[in-house]
Amino acid sequence: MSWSSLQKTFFALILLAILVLGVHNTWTMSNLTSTVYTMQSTIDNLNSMLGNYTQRLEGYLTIAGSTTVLPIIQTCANLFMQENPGVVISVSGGGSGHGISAVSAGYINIGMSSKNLTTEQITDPDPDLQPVAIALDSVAIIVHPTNGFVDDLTLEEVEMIFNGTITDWSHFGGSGEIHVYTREAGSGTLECFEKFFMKHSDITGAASEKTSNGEMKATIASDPAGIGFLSVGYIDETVNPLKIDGVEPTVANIKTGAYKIKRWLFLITKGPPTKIEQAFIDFVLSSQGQEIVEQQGYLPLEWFQ
Amino acid sequence: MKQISTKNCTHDDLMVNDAKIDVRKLNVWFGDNHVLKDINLKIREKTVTAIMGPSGCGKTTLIRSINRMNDLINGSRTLGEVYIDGYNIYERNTNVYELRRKIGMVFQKPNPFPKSIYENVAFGPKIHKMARGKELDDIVEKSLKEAALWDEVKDRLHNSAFSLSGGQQQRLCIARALAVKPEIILMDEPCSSLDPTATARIEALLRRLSEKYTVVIVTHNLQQAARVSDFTAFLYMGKLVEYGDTKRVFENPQSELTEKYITGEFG
Amino acid sequence: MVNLEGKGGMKREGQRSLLEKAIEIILFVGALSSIIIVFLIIAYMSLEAYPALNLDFLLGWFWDPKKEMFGIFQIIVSTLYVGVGAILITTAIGVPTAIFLAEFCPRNVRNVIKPSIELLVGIPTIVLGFFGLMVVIPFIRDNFGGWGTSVLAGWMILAIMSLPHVISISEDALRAVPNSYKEAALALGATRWQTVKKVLLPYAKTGILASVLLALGRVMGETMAVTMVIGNPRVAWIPTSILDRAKVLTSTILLDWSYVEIPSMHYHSLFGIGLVLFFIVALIDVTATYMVKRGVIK
Repeated sequence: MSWSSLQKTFFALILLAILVLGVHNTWTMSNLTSTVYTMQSTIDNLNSMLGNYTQRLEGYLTIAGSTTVLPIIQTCANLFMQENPGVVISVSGGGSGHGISAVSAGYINIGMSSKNLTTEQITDPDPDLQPVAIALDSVAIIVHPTNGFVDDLTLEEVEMIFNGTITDWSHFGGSGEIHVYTREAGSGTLECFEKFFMKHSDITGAASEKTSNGEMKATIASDPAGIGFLSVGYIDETVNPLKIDGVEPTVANIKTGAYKIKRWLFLITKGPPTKIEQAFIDFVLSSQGQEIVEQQGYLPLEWFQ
Repeated sequence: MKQISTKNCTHDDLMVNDAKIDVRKLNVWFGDNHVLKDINLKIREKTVTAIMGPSGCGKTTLIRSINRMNDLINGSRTLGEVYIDGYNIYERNTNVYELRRKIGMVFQKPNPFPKSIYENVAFGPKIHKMARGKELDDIVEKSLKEAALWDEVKDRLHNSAFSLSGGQQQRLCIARALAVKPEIILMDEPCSSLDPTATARIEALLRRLSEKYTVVIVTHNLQQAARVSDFTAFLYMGKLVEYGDTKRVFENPQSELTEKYITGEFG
Repeated sequence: MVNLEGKGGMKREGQRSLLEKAIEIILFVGALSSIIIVFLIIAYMSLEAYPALNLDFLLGWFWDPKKEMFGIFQIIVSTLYVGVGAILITTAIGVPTAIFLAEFCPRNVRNVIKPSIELLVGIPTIVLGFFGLMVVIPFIRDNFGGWGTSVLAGWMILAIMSLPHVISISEDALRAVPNSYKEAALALGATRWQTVKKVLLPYAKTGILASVLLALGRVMGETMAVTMVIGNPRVAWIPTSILDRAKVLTSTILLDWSYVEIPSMHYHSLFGIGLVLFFIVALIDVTATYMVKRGVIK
């Protein structure tokens, strides 16, 4: 069948249109992802501009890590979410080690840590991590409330119990095997404990590993023969904290330095905090947040500044 | 069909006194189903008695009442008495296991255990602790010979029972039953799944067995009943219609029903 | 002359066979994808575990990451000790229960027992672990001594977990025995128990054994519940008694994964543990399957 010139022109035009659209669309597709990101950041910028005027925050924060820091952050988060209904914060534990590795890998926004990144040894430190100190804490040696054999220990005695030299309560006038409990290797509480109490030796291999402050507390609270260590923020009437060299691990004694064990607590971000992360960190550092620190049984920063 | 009175057609000129198996007023229900109705039957010692009748008339239920295998069926109920050697086996304190040892049963489809030939025959004596070691070997050999199977299997006693043909397996089941020294052997259509040759072998066996044991055989094969049995009972719809000397029953049936059955008008 | 075109003709048939072909391919891809997924997971595990796989790892005596010691031999032995012990308990309770349910149980009693066993399956393992922590641990400590957390506690929790499976599968195996064998035995004068012992059990043996092995595989891989009750001493050892604490392959991974540095020998060793666990469970499952096959042929 032969075509008239009109038909041919018409057909050619249609072909051209298809070609042009096709090329354009392909080009657009490859730029689609970057377009999306551009749109995202535009919205973010708009948000922050608006935020300067309306103070309205929106977003999602994941925070995880040290169980020592956890009670503080949980309470702060609840309050923060009340004041900023557009924000959803999810807080979980996992230990300081988990907090550090998770924020470094980008799984969470903010890592909680009772390990000091600058002074503690970490084999491969991530240079992008930025810690902010938010409170202070201490570590106490705890036993079951009915344990009448010990009340006051020296540093040496603590070390000898935990390294397995002293194995029986009979050493203190009681009876039965001493059940030594410790924390998982990534724990910041463990690191603090070892730094102050295990100066010359390692914790015995026979010690049972617990994976959080909460678990440690529950375990000691149910095992009359047990001994362990706990962040002072967790101490309540279910466990009995021991005096060390005659000094009780009270907040007052820690403040004055009579109870010598002391450590900082941190919130860590990867790189500079985003707007919403910064807002939350500011909240924790604010007088509201520091009041929560004190309420939870920890030590506010200003006491040591 | 005219309702035939069954009163006069039982125990013809038979003994009343020396019955090996004496069934009196036996009634069996499975649930609501009244399967056996007022059966009265005396079976003589060391004879072959055939029980015949159309499908579903209760033949199998009748022989299973003799070794109390019906007890194992959920929802079964038995009323009446069955006297074996003068003792009512449905009495409360009966040792059912000893009863079943005394009464061997061969089933319609050969069912040897998934074990060796030897172990099949030895099974019964072992559970009744009848023998061990050499004694047990002797019992196995004797039983297999009695069942006319020994020559065929003596070199492969420890082969699986399934390596045997259908007819051989059925003879193995007979040997298995014989091994516990029973007095009565019940057979429920033992040849119905076998070919004619195998059937003939077993029928020949029956004659010999009846010299030592009381054999009761259920069959729906009229010719077989006529061939092998001394006495024949005819069951119809749970009732015993006729019972007597086999020759007499087949040549001169006293009940019209029997005659109709024999001539093949139904069944 | 048959009209090959139009309605119901050959043309339509062509379309139908195309659809058939398409469905066949889709189903094949589905089946293939499951194989591919398994292969990918094993490949990934092997790659990540590779740097750690050596004799020092498998036969090494001590697991102490702080001292860069990654020997899992004692952990493997502990895992077998805990797993096999639990399964022995399960078998000792489960198989008789299955026999009872299959052969001796009156119908109305069965209608109460069976649903209860099935409910047991529905309890999440972490709830069982919690129950172990709150009830079993203090019970053992107060009545038998030791720490409470112990091999015994592990045995109890794991036995509870695997009991329903063993009972259910064993009962099915027993019920699968052809009735003709049972009748033959009973007609010979065997008691119910003699029939079970000499006819049913030999026949159902492979099925029962297979169910026990499968339960063993499952129990080896149990993580949360076991970690909560087993004790986990810092440096693992082979438990010397059932009241002694232990560390197993799964609890080792659970305690360390959250803080392990990626990459590091510690990290690779954790994958190594995963690979070892996989092989143990795979070996058990293959044995079980082989036994079932052999039993069927027999």
